[in-house]
Amino acid sequence: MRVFFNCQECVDLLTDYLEDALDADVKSRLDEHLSACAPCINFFKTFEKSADMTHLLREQKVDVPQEVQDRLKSFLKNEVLNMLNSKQK
Amino acid sequence: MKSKELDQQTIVEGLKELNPDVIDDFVDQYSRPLFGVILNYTKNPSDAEEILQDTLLKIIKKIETFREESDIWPWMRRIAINNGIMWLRKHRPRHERTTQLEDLLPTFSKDGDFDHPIYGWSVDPEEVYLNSELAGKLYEAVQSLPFEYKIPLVLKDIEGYSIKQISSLLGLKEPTTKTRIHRARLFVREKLAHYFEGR
Repeated sequence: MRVFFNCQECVDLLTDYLEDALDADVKSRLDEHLSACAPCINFFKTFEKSADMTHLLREQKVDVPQEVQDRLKSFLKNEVLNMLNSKQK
Repeated sequence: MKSKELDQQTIVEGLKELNPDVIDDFVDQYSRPLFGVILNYTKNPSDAEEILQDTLLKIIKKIETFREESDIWPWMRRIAINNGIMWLRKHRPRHERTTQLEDLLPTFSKDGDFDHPIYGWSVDPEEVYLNSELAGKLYEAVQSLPFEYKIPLVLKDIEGYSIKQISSLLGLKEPTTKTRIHRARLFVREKLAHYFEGR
């Protein structure tokens, strides 16, 4: 007998669905529920959109203040001097 | 003053020789993008600076191991990611004061139906680039995740690693990794739903 998923069971499967990791029977039952349930369609689309938006944080533009860059350069200069000194020993 | 942009070969050779001018240009050229990567692991600017400092030093120390025929940016990015994870593991507060995940997961009736209305969002994901308030809310949502959920989510959804790679990097079983990513995504979606729906 074919068992139908409820909304909670569908939500539990969404990451596997996006990973294409569901077996054919489970995927077809999920698709069946999604085709007829407006809240789940909205949930699925917003779940996917939220993950897509998170991916865009990858390209976030940030500034490194000049004083931080100066501190980094001065720190690295000291470290490099230490490295050169230890090489000479 | 903005320095000139150096090509990869000049940077690699200069770092190998510990050339101070090249090191300065290297900081000018790569500190911003590396800082952007690191800020996904901590939102505290002074902590991020510490991780950045260590990342730049590690790049110089490891430059001999870099395979010159490959692109240097993904190699540097991986060092920054590993440093971010190591730093978080070391400095993780014993009792994290983050939002309780359970409070922001979807809730259901006893029959398994949603117990509140679910609305669609008319936003295009690319709007994150244009709307700094939205980008800020999203960033805060990710940063407010507890450590054990934040790292898998960042590696999966921001860095694009596979479940297998994340599991191996974090020493987790694949189903555990997947569950954490799923719950973290539900949490972030819910935070954004609050924002879009004005809740």
